[in-house]
Amino acid sequence: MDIIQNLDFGAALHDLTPMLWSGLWIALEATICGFIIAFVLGTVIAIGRISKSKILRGVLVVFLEIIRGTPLLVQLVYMYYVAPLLISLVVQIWTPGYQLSFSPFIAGALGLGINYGCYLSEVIRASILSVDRGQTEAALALGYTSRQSLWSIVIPQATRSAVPVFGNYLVMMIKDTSLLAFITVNELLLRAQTYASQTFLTIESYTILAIAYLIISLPLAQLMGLLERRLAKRG
Amino acid sequence: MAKTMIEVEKLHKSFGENEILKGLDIEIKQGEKVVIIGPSGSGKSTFLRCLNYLEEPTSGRVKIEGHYFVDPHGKYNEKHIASLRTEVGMVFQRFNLFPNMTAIENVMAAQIKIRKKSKEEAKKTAEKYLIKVGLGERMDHYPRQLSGGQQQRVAIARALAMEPKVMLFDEATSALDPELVGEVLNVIRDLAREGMTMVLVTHEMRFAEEVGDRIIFMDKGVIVEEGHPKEFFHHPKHERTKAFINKVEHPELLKENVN
Repeated sequence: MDIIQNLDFGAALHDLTPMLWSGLWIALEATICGFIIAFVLGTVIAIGRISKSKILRGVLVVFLEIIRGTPLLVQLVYMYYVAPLLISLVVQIWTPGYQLSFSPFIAGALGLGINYGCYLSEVIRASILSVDRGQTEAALALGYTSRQSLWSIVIPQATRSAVPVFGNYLVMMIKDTSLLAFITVNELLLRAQTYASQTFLTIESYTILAIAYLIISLPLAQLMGLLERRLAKRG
Repeated sequence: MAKTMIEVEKLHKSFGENEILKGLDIEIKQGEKVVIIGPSGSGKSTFLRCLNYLEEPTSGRVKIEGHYFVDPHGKYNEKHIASLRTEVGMVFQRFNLFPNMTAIENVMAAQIKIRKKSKEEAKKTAEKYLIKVGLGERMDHYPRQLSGGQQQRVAIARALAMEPKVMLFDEATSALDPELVGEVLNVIRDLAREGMTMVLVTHEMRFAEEVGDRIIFMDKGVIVEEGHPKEFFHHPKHERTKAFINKVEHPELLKENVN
């Protein structure tokens, strides 16, 4: 009974709302940066995997397996603590004393970007392969090089089928920014955690946190559904 | 004596173990209309696709207006091949229009991207050719809003807008409903009259006879017989040619045989 009597959602809401707002901006920034990295990397990997070079394809498959076979959280921790050390080690060969470090935000955005880039690359690759071979042949016959035909004929068509799936990954990434709390990015989860441990308003803090995520992701998911139907209608 | 437009030397093409083309030598003059016929699997489409290097020959060479696609060492330079392809228009069985572009955008795209024309110039040329194929009223329609025959005419306009020296037709009417075949053949017929050099693969024998200057009959990867249409259709020399012509002109016999 004590637990119920001691609930104080009013105070928690009052204190947490401004904190979560600023946390939300960090989460959104991380999502935007992460998604741009993921998109660029995903496109590069996808094109690499349909290239003629067997070596390139092999390297990319190994890289994809490593990323998909390890948890995102481990990758984030690795990106924050280990990657700067490894890069420093290499650079020190030329520049002794070189020390690189990533800010939590940079490490977080990179980690999210690389992880999602691998998944997006599969989406991009599949949508490129889904474009009829006749499209490429028509472009080649008109004098396009295979690169020109890929970029100006095939990819614009592939994007159509890929965009709705991208939307789902975008919503997933917003939620996954909560993992950045573990590498000390001051986003929503970390703020709620700090507040809860200071005030012992545990139930309130985490409930409000969960609702905050819902408020962001539900409308976005709706929006993506709408976009998908729009694109489907245009055919 | 007209100059030589296409020259094919000892053309071989294999897919894995399977040899599709077994050494073809052909010379096509400027303005000549060559129709290739033959049973399915005879290699006629593969041959046509070798003429613009959509299929890379296993050996042998193809020359367009004196220019080889590959150098004497067989080296493959994509830019060179692409630029030579702009001289060779191709019309596909399944149209292959770009579905995300309107008819006029389909015809403009390569002019802008490859011929480096301005948008206005490309538009003017596109309008000219769309009107020529009888689609002046449908320029802003998307391919899915057009009938098969209209789509194929857009595809022809798209190829013509590059102002190629040769046109290749790969069974251009095979995917069409019978009532739409005529409108496409009319466009091709007009083009033939204007003196375009053309190579056609087709199953329309009457059309082949009417429009062709020369008929080439292929079977199992070799040229069995070639000749003037009248000679070819009415006095074929080879047994295989006779059998083929008999089959396509009397399909009812064929059906009985199958059953």
